[in-house]
Amino acid sequence: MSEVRKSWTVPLAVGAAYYIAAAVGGALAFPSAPVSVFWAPNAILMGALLVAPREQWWMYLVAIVPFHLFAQLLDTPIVQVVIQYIANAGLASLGALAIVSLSPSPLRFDRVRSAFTLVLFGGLLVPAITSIFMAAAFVLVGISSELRLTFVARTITNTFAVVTLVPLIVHCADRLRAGQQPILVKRAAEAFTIALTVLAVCLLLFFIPADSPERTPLLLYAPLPLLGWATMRFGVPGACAASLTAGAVSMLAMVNGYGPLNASDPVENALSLVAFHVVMAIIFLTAAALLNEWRHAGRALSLSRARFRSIFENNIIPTAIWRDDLRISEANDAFLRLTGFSGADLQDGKLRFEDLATWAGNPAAREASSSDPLERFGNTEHELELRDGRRVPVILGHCRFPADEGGVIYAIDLSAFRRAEARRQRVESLHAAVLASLHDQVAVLDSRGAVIEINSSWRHAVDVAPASRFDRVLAGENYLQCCARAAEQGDRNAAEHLAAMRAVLNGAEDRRLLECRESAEGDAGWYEVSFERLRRAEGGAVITRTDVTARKRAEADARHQRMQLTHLSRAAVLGQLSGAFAHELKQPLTSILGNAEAALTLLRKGNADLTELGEILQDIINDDERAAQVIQRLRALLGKGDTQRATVELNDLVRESLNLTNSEFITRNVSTALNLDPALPPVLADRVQMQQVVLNLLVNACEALAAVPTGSRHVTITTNFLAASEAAEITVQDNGSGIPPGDTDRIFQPFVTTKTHGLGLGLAICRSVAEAHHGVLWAENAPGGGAMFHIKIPIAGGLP
Amino acid sequence: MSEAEPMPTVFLVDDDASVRSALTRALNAEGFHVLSWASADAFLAEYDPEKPGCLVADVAMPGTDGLQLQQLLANSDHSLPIVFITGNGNVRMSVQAMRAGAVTFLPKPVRLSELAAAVREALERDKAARQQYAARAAIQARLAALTARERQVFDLVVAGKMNKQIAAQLGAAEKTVKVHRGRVMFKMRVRSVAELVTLASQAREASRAS
Repeated sequence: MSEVRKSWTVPLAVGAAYYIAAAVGGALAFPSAPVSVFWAPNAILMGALLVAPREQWWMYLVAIVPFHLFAQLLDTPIVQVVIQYIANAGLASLGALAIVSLSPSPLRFDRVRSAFTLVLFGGLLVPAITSIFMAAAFVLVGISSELRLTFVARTITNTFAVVTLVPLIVHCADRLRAGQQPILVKRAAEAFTIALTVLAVCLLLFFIPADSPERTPLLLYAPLPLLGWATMRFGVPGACAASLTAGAVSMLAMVNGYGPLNASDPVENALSLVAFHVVMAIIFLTAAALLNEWRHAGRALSLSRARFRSIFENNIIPTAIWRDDLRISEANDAFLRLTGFSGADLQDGKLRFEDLATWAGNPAAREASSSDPLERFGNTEHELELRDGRRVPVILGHCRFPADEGGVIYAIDLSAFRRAEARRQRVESLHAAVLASLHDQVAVLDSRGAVIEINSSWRHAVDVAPASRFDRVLAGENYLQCCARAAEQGDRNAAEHLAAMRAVLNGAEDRRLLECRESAEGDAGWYEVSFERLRRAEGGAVITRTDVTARKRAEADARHQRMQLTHLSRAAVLGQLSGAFAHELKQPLTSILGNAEAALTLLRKGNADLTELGEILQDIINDDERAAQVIQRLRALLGKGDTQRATVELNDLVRESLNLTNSEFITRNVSTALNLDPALPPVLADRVQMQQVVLNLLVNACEALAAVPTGSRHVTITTNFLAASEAAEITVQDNGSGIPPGDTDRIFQPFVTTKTHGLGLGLAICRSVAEAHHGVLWAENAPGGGAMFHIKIPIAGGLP
Repeated sequence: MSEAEPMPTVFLVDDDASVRSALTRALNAEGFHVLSWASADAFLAEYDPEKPGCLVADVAMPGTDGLQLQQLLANSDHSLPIVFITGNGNVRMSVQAMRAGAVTFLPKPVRLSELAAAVREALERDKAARQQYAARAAIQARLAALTARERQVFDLVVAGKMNKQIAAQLGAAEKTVKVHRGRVMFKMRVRSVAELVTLASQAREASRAS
């Protein structure tokens, strides 16, 4: 209920105002026409409609019905009441509709266009149309015969009311809507003064008796300066309020028989008065709107100036404003900071921009565009000469002000950018130079395996490589895909490369090295390929291909030479032992000869016993086998074949070596002791080379004992299984004078010898044999005197 | 070798068993009596110097070698003739062996004929040495039978002194010297002074040799 009451409150209040205005209007009726001199209800209703939302308009039109009836029903025929309601409601609603549709919002009538809309449609056209309708209706139903008078009178009285009241109502509603606003005392006093003055002047001048000699129509102009004051100071509401006051007072005066007008016909006087006020009200309303618009434009201009200054002064882009001839009239702080000039330097246009900037680009282009000096500075690179004579690279932009002499030039300092660019170029050129100078072939890959960059070595290698090689990739191609394709076709190299590359790219490994041959052909080159993770956030990898053919060949040569040297050294040892070997052979030969001659003698004498002869022959066979074994061992030692790894029983090897050198030991009066570890497992080794080492050590031990008295020369050979280190150890110990202190390592150097004959290669080669087996050979002096030589090799043996 | 004396023995020392057995067989076939040892020390431990024979030894042997064995034997009373056989001989070794009195120095493999000849020569030498030794021993026995006075007279007679000179030197009567002289001649089984002088020189040689 309360909502209904609330929504109807304003329409009903408007209805009440309508009623009051109608009552006032009724009191101010034209003497001879059924229209009022001052008819405000329609204007009030129009103003209310303009303020109200359009969907509530019907409520206002309904709300005024009872008040309309109440105001007129007592002394007016019902037909006239109805016609007047239709005409009034039509005027208000059509006028409001026209204004709302045509006037720009917000609706305040303080612009020329909206004031004009109000006057033309709300004030003139719509009242005229509804007045024609009403006048015609009145004539038709016989209420009045004064068609013209009714039309004119109703039109202009409504015009006056609309032009003065509607802006006021809208303005007041605006103020009400905006809520409480502080009232300035000075302004309120001024408004009050104007209102009082207007009222006083109007009362004094218009209430002049009809017979007064001072009565003249000119008096009507007396309040106009006050209206002008109100207009100047208070704008549209001031103008409207003042016009309304002046009009209302003068009409009241006239209706009561006073007034400045002195025509004989009171109706004419009334029409003239209203027409005069209508014209004045329109003039002052329009003036107020113009004034307001002018003030508004002024404010907008100064605001825009302030904005421009703010933008100009605070811009971080160095900006200068030039006048004609490119003289700089103003520059912002950024510009001054850049150039080093001060504000004083720029005063009076002392500085021409042309003198400040020089063309850094192509001189030919400069000549071509020199017809317009400003054209030179368009969005191109220049050098700007600073106050201290330094020059900085800048990009210049410019524009002319529209319809003005002068414009703006912007300068963007490029020096920091140039420095960064130069640094980047230095880094890049260094990077490129380093890559180009590498002999190795280098390719850089991104995290998906695409080649980002290659160096010239890589490119050259790709150019000369056979078409069958899978990794002939250039920048932009995908290395992983190339490898994968080749791997699918069975290229094992490619599969290895692919696996390595993937492991490095996905971060599983930081680095992987591959060694491969370029092709399966015999003389194909060897390559070492390194896959290295790129240590950066985006990932990627570097592939480095190194030609290691020369190194490989050198290694092969060295291996070959070492083998030859080993063989020679072996031959030398065997040479030294030749006497011993001869003895080893002569023993069985002696037996054979002895047995054979015994048999022969027995046969000759004829007393041969067959059993004995059998035994003799068996012995001959045994001795022959024994001799054959000796020869076989010697042949094995003298053989020149490649190194071969096989399982070797070191204990057997020691025993056999001792057998071979037995005669040497006997000849040299050296006794031997064997101390073999039965737990020693077979080792993976090259039998001949190991035997060579043992023989060498045995011969050395014999020779070391030459100075020791016969009968106390001993050599002990020991084997040991070192379970902890999975190694086998052979120790050869003599009881000679030992190794001179400090020589325990030197004696392994080539060409170092303590003997009067010999090259001094034996021990050096023995050590290289030990190392080839991933083992060690070292010497020390035994605690009880004499030298000890140890050779230790892993059970699993070393790689060849 | 068909003599009344005991059968001489060939002592064979070689560290190589098959060589030992082969050479034993061969020398047996040639009719020698052979005993063999694997080392010089084993031989020395069992060796009886009274037994006639010769030594066939390898030079290069573990322990005491052939040349050392030769040295050891030379230092004893009865030097055994030695035939060296070697598989690894050199000139220095053979010179040393020969100087020390070796019969010969044969390289392995050795022909039986050469070995047998060498062994025969060695046995001859041994036989001669033993006979000489026996003769000397007889002279020494006769000299030992003389009294001190007779020995003085013997030395002076051998030195060529006249009876008168001997009597003056010994402070005895010439007649007494004559009696001693006759007794010396009897005990030494000689009839003339010349024979006595020969015996005396043989005895000096023998005493020098020992």
